[in-house]
Amino acid sequence: MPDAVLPFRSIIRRLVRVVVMVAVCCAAAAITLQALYAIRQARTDFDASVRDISANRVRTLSSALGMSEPTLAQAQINEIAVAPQIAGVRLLTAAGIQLQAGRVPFAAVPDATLEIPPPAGSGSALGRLYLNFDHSYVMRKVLIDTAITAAFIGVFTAVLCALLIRFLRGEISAPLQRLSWRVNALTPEALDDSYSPLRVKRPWRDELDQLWEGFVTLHGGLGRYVAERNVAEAALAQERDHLDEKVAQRTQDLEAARNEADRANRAKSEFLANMSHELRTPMNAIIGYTELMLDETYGPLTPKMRDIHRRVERNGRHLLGLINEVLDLSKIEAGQLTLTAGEYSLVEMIRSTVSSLEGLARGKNLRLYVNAPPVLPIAYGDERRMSQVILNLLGNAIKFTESGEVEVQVHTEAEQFLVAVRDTGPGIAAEDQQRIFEEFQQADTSLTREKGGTGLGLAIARRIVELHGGRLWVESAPGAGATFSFTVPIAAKLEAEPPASAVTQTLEAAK
Amino acid sequence: MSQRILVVDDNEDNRLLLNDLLSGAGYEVIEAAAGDEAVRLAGEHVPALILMDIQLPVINGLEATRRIKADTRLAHIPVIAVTSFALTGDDAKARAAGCDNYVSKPFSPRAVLAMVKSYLA
Repeated sequence: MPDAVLPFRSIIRRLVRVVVMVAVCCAAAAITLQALYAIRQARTDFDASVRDISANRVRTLSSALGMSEPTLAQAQINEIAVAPQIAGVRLLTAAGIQLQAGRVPFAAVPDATLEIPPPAGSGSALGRLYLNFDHSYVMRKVLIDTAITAAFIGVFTAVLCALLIRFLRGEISAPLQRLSWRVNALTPEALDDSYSPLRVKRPWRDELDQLWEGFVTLHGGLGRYVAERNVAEAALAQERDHLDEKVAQRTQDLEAARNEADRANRAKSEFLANMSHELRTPMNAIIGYTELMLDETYGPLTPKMRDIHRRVERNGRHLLGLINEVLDLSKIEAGQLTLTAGEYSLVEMIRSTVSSLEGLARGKNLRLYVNAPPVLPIAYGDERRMSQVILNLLGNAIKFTESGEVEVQVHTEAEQFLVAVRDTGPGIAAEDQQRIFEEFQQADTSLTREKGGTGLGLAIARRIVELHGGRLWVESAPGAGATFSFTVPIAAKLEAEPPASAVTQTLEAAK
Repeated sequence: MSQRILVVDDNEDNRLLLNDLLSGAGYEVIEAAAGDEAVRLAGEHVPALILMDIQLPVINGLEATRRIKADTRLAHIPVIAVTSFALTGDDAKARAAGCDNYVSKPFSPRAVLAMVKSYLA
C-alpha cells in the first residue's frame, strides 16, 4: 500500500480553503467595484455643482458686478464656498478687483474656471470665477462609502462561508469519514448484515448513500461468500480426513493382500521345489536299478523280463520329464531361474536338437528339416535354456502332427533372430491360442491323456524367451497347421559359417 | 588290489544302487550315511574317490567335502557331488566347497560309472 506513506490531506479542509479563497476574491472584487463607483459618483457630483453655480450664481454675480456692488459679490462668493465639496472660490474682475472665500488657501491651478458675462448679454466679460474643490472631502466620502460596503460584504461572505462549510461537513465530510472508519474496521469475523445507516434518514438519496448501499451489498455478499467458503472448507477438510482414512485403510488392505499373495506364492514355489526334490530321490532308485537290471548287473534276463524292465524305465523317464518340468516352472515362479548367458551358434544348437529328435520324427514318418541362411550372426543368451525351448516346440510339433512335415526356419529381423517352428498338424483354434501358454493348459484337455505331457512346456518356453528379453507367439488356424515363433538375441559380431553347410540342410526323416 | 570308493548317501536304496554299480565294475565300496561318518571313514580308509550326496544328516555334504579337502592327507581325493537339490546354484556351491565334479539326481548309473572311470583311469 504505497498510498499509506503519503501525507493525509482532508478533502473537506481543502474544499473549505477553496470556498474561503473564492469568497475573499469575490468580496475584494465587489469592494473594488464599489470604490470605483464612489469615485465616479464624486466626479458627477462635482460636475453637477459646477453646472449649478454656472446656472444660478454666475448671473447674480454678473448683476452685482454690473452694478459695481462688491459686497454683494462677496456675499455670493461666500455662499458658493459654503458647499462642502468647494474648498475655495476666487473672483477676478476685469477691473482688477480680486474677491475670494474658502476654508483653505487657494491652489495655484483651479479645478474649474467660469466666465462672468455682462448683464445685458453684450460686451466683454466682467470677470472670471475660479473654483477649487475640497479633494480630501471627496476622498473621505469615497472611503466611508467603501468601508461600509466592505463591512457589509465581509460579514455576508463570512456568514455564507460558514453556512457552506457547515453544509459540506454535514453532507460530505462526516459521512465520508464514517464510511472510511467502517471500511477500515472491516474484518472477516465482523462480516454480517447488521449495519446502522450512514446518517439520519432523509426523503432523498445521494451519491454517498449509493456508495454506502453498494458497500453494504458488497460487504454482505462477501460475508455470505466467506460463510459459504468456511462451510465448504470444513466439509472439504472432513472429506479429506475421511479420504485419508480410506486411502490408509485401502493401502493396508492391499498390502495385507499382497503379503498374503506373496506368502502363498512363496509357499507354492517352496512346495514345488521340495516336492521335486523329494520325487527325485525315489526316481533315482527306480531308474538306476532298472538300468542296472537291463545291463544285467544282477544276472541275465529273459526276453519277457527285459521287456518289462524297458517299460518300467520308459515310464520312469516319462515321470522324470514331468517332474523336471514342474521343477523348472517352480524355479521360474520362485524367480530362481537364472540364465547362464554367453555367445553361441544358434544354428548349430538347433541342428543338434533336431538330430536328437530325428528318430522320433522318423517313427511317425514325418519330414523334419532346418531352413536357415548360409551366414548368421552369433547368438547371445543361455544356450541350454534356448535348446530347451526348441526341444519343447519341436517335441510338440512332432507329437501333434500325424502326417506331413515339421520345419525350423531361422532368419534375422530387426537386430534379432526370428526362429519359427512350422508343422502341418491339426492347428489351434483362435480361442485356444492364448490359453495354451498358460500353465496346465492344452488346446484339448483330452489330448493330455492321449499325448502325455504336463501342459507346462509352452509356459516354460515362453518364460525362458521372455527372460532373454524376447517373445514367443503362435500363428495357426484349425486344419492349417501351426507356426510357433520366438526371438533370440544377437551377439555383436557376425558368424561365418563354412560354405559346406551353407545350403539349407534337410534332414529327410522319412527316409 | 581294487580301488576303494566311498559312497556317501543317507538313502539306503541309493547307497545300495551305487554299491551294486561300482562293485559290479570291480571297485571296492565303503558306505557312509552321514556327513561326519563320511569324514571319519575318509580319514581311516583314504579312498581313491568319493561320491558325496549333498543333503545329509549331522553335517551336509558340502561341509564334509570342505573338511576332507582341508586335510592335506585327503585333499587329493576326487569328490563327485551327487545332489537332488532343486534350485540353481548347486553346482557352483559344490565347486566352491571343493567338489571336483557334479552329478544331478536322478542320474544314469552308466553316466556315473563313466565319470568315475574318468577319474580312476
